[in-house]
Amino acid sequence: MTSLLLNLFITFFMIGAFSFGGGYAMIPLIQNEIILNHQWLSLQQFLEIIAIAEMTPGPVAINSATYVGYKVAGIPGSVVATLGVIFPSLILILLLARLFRRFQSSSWVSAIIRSIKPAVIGLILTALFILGRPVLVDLKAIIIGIVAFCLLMGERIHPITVIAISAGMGIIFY
Amino acid sequence: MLPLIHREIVFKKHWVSEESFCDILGVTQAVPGAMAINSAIFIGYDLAGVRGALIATLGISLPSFLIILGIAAFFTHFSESRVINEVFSGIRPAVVALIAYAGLKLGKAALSDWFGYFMAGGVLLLHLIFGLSPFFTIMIAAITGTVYYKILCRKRGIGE
Repeated sequence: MTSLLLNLFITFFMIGAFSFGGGYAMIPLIQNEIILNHQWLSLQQFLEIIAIAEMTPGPVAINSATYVGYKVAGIPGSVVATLGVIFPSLILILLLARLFRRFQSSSWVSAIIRSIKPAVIGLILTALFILGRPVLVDLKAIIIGIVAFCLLMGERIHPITVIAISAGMGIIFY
Repeated sequence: MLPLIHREIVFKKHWVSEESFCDILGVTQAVPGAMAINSAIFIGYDLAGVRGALIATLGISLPSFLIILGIAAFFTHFSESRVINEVFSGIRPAVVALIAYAGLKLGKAALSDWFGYFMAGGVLLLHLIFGLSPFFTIMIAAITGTVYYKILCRKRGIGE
């Protein structure tokens, strides 16, 4: 059990260390480590987790870590995974806070930041493919997806309400 | 979450000034991890050193941590329910739509030149076709981009 927890911590530490651009960009990282590499979860379970992490308050990144940790190793797992994903940010920011002024004006740093931004978009697109392929398999799912997307693009309705509406559509359609 | 942080920290408690808040935005975007957590760490450190950072982080993570645990425990018992399955069948495509929407919005802000599009597309292809781990693609992107932008600056002179 201890080695599983250690493994979980290290895995989420690495995920946290590479999660530029937050929650959605984390999805390919989690999928690669949790589903492909360690095979702790199936893609279906992962989809559930993302859905729930969306609906609950708090950053998607933390919520996913907590939930995955719980599924893999119960409550100790959720604690360890959550700590793991937070630690890199903690360490980096505490180290950098003093050097911050120098950090901000360095041209190397701005070059790095400029290159990470498109990479994050690439990651989000990857997440779209990874999740879209198994989910959008039947017409009902595609319809719900399109409706949800249009509602979101309209920018009048809050995302959580959109999810609630989609849940309702799920009950009606299925 | 950002407007919430702004309202509480800058407006109500006056712990941080407007300019400092913009600095914080800069840091939290450069550092990996969720923006909310990073903001908490930074502001906490600013106000009360390492202890402040730890306490602020605990504060911002604890509610969602407990809520998720509750939901996880709940769903593990109710996963066989038909209604729950139907609800999830509706929520899953919505999540995909949400990711698409977020990607679109972020894409407009983040992709400013052809090189950006090239990198985003490159990362996507490296994942889908070559099956590279995201750890590698991020490093490759960072190195490629940094080299490109540094060379670009050198050619053009000083500014970007």
